[in-house]
Formats: sequence, C-alpha cells, structure tokens
Amino acid sequence: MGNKKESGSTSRRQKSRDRAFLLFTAPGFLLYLFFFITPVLMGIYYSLTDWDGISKKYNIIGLGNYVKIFRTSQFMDSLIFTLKYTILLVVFTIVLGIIIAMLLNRKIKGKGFFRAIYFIPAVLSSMTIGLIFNKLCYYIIPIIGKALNIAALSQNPLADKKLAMWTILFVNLWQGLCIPTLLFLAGLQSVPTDLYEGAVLDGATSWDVFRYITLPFLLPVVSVVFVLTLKSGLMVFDYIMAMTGGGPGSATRSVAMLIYKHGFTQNKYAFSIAEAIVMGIIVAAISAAQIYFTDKKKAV
Amino acid sequence: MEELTAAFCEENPGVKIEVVSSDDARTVLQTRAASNKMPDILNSYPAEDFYKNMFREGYFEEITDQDYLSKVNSTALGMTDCDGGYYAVPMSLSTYGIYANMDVLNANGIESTPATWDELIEDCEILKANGVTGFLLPNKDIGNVAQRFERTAGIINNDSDSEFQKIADGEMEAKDSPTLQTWCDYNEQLLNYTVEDHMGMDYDIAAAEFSNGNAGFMLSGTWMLATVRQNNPDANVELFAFPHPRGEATKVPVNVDTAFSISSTCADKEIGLKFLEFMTRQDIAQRYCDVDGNVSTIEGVEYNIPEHAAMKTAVDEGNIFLTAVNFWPNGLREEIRDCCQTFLGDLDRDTFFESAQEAIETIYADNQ
Repeated sequence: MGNKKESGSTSRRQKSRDRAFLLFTAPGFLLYLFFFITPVLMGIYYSLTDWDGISKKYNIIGLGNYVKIFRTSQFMDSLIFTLKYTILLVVFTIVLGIIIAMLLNRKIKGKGFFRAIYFIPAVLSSMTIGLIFNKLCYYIIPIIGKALNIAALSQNPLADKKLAMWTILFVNLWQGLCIPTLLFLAGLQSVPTDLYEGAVLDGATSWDVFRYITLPFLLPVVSVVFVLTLKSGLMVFDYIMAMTGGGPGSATRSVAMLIYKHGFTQNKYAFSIAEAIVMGIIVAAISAAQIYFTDKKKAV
Repeated sequence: MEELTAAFCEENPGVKIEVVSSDDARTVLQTRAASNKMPDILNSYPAEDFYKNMFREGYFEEITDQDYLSKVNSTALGMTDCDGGYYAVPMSLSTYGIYANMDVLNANGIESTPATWDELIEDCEILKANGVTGFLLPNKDIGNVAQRFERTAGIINNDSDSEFQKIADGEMEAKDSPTLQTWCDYNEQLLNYTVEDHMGMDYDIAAAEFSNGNAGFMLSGTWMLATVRQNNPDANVELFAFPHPRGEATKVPVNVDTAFSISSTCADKEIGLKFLEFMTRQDIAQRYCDVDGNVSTIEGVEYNIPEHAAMKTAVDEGNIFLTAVNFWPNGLREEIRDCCQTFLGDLDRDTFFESAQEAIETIYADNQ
C-alpha cells in the first residue's frame, strides 16, 4: 500500500517535471519551427514549382528544376570552386590562426597594442573591405609587382583567372582571421603553465611541446573554428560580390553567387531554390561527417 | 530628387516623402514585392519585360486615364504600353553611345568626333601614336560588360532577338551569327587602343580616368555625364552615336530611364497620382532634366545639355531604337555576360561561340 502510494507520487512528480520541461522547451521549439523548419518546407515546396518570384500563380512541375540543375556545367563548376575555396579557407584559418595566436601570446613589448591593431579589420564590414581591396588591387599591387619584377602581379590580380580566387581568399583571411585568432588565444591561456615548465625540464623540443601539450588543449577550439569557417566558406558571397562579381568569366562564381544570379537577375526563383536545397543537402552531409568524426574522437 | 519632393511636400501640407535610392533597385523591388511592402511611389523601367510582368500581376496602379499622360512625347509613351494600358509616366530617355574627351582629342589635333567606324579607328591610331590611351574598356566590371554587349549588339543588329531566336531554334549556330561575329571583331580592334590592365579596370575607375583626360573615348550612356562632372567639373566631353562597325547606317539605342509609377498598395493613391501630375509640369520636369542629363520626354522641356546635343538630334529625328534588353528574354544579358568577359580577356572565339550558344539555348528554352 505504502509502495503504491510512493510510486503514484513519483509518477506525479515525473509528470510534473515533464510538463515543466515541455513548457521550457516550447518557446524555443516554436521559434525554431517558425523561423527554420517552415521556410525549409516552403522552400522544398516552391522548388517543385515554376514560380518566377513575381507571379501570383505558378504550376507544380515536380522534380523538373532538380533535373535542370545539371543541364549545364554551371552548378558543378560553382560547387567545385566553392569546395576548393572552403578547404583552403579552413586550412589557412586554422593554421594561421594558431600561429598568430601563439605569437600574440608571447611576452613581447607592446603586446596589447599589437592585439588591438590586429583586431581592427573585424569591426569593418566585409563589403567595405572588399571595395577597399578592389582599389588596392588596381592601383597599388601592379606598382609593387612591376617594381619587384613579378609578372603575375604586374596587373590587377583580380583580373587573372588563377589569381582571383587567391586574392579573394587573402582578403577573406585578412579580415576573417581575427575572431578565430581570438578564440585560439583564449584557448592558449587555458593551458596550465606548469605543464610547459615540466616539459622544458624533461627536455621536450618546441615541436613536442606544441604537439603534446598545446594542440590537445586547442582541439575543442579547432573544432568550433572548423565549423564556423566551413559555414562561411560554403556560403561565401559578399567578398566575391564586392571584388569580382564572380569573374573573370565565371572563375570565382560560388554556389551562393549562382543562386543569387538565377533568382534575382533571371527571375528563376523556383530553380534557384532547388539549387539552394541541393547545396543544403551537401552542407548537411559535410556537417554530418564532421559530427561523426568529432564524436569518434571524443570516444577515443 | 530630394529638392523636388520637398517642393511637392511644401505644396501639399501634411505629406511627407522619404526618398530611398538603391544600386540594385530590381533586387530590392523583388524582395519588397515578395514581402508585400512595395514603396508607394517608385521609378520603374516600363519598357522592360520584367516590369511589364509586374504590371500584369497587379503590383502597380494603372494610370491610363490620367490627363497628364498627354504631356508625354507619344513615341516615348508608346514604348511603355503594356497590353494597351499605362502604368508609368516616362520622364526621360537615356541614350547610349561613345563619350569623347574633346580636350584630349583637340590636344592631339583631332577637331571633331568621328562619324564612321573607320574615322574612329583613325582617331585611336593618332592617339596611340602620341602615347595616349584611345579607348577605355572597363572589362573587370561584369555589369558594364553585359550592358556594352547588349547595347552594341543592338546597334549591330536592331533585331538581334530574331537572330538569337534562330540560334535557340537550331536554325543557326552562334559561330555563324553575324551579330556575334561583328561584336567580336570590333572588340578585338578596340582592345588595341585600350590600357594594358583593361581586365582589371572597373567602371568607376574608367569614368574617373576618362573625366581627368587620360583617354580619348569611352562607351557609356547619358547617365555618365553626372559622374564626369563630379570627377572633373571642367571636363570637356561630347556623346556621339556609336558608328556601325560594318559601316552600315547606325541608330542610337534608347531606354526609358526614369518613369514614375505608384504601387497598388500605395497608402494614399490620390496623393500618389498628384505627385505624378506634379512631375509632369513643365517647370518641374525642366528642373529634373537639367540635373538628370537624359533627354526629357515631357513636352515643352528644353534640353540644355550641349554635351548631349548629338543624342538630342538623334531622338528628334527618330534615329533611335528601343534597346535590346526590352526584347531579349529575361536573363539573357546576365547569362551571356560571363562568356563576353572571358572573350575580352583571352580573345578565344571558339570558346566564346560555344558558351554563347549554350547561354542563348538555355535562356530561350527557360522563357518559352
């Protein structure tokens, strides 16, 4: 009898707790449903139509837009460019971010000054930076290139099919490195100094210290920076829009630029939504792989 | 524009107009239409298919029965006709041609602007021999490349749409298109007289260089005069018709550049209509024209811009045609511009024709 009473009371407590959890979760869930899930479902619906963005009437055309995506090489070319750009952006951001953070973490004179100077680009908009570098690339780079007798830099590098991507990448890194560096700097400061002292006493080399002490402490930050940079690389738009407009030809046209072109300049809205959904699936697959490997690492 | 809206507000106490301008008006308009937040009064391009579709979809108020439309030049008004109705008051026509920096030409012994293609090339040769840049071609600017292609393809063949339709229908190949071939020919010629880093040059850089007397010629439309004056108030420039590169008779491409409309969601349609009437008054249209630089379409307005005298003559004589963008299927200009820019960089005709073929086929198929 007593047990029954106890179990009834536990069940009531459980139900009340569940209700509280539900009430706390509901606002977040409803916001997510309204602002994320609904647009995605609407996007999937519109991708199955021939809507031009203006007409109030449209027809359901099934998977026609998805078939059309691969009618020309445009989407694949843009996808290859975007993936190449993203890989380079991720690698350079992590490698340079760690190097700069380590330099800024040293006991040097004017450390505060260097740190402040280094973070100035972060407060400027990427569009503004793109436009500034646009002018530098036309007026300044060729002068330097000619003075140093470097043929590749004796003209605007943004006009060269091979150099344009590297120039955009450089500008993106110039601004985009600030936040990852800040995160790495915070990560470095969490490393206990006695570990370094012990390692030095044991005769560890600088590389050993980095590999076996610094890097393991930085790995969680690396994971965060990886995800943030991956996202910004796959969705790159503003730097390209400001600096090359996707050119020369289509040499720097990212998938986001292609989606913009088809949607806003050609009124192929439903088609551009289909392209966005295909891109979304690719991003989801990459993210899933990243989560899988991160989890595996944690388990080890 | 702000001065004119202020004058209107003064005349109509209680009315407040906020003027918003955008570099990418079409994108802004599309997003505002999608979110049902159309501006009350707006500048439209009523000759273009994109805007005509918006008229048909009911985003704009029909103004066919408004008396002030009788003040508009009938040719210009005819360009804005949409299924027998009107939805915009055309205020000005932009014309496209070649700007000549007369100070540069005169300093090199050239007294007047060239009338034929051969004369243009001769002038460029003289400038080149004197170490002066003949032509500025801002080929990094993909929007400018697209516009140059569209305007000059139209000059080469006023009915380029029919020719491209043949390519789309498989009756002709892009490599056999006289319009595309001539476009390649003339660009190949002009590239001999431009700056070394033409592929790295933007429109605004080119406009500044031209205004400051660093080149003889530059392709553009009447809208560029304001930029030239801003860069160099003393610049001595003239706009003349782009001579047909094959020596045939040439016509000037025009477009309805400013046309005021009111949206169907305008908060006070009566005030909106009153504003359109206000803009068509001769004194107001004159003030607008003096700053705008384009040829006014309002009867009685004097065109006091000596730099554009040749364009005014072309309009008065009817030696004009409505530019190709109004006839081409939606998106062709944006699709073909990539291969145009690539060609200007590498002069590889085979690749150009192959890419142009694909662009034309894709866009005509999409717009069927």
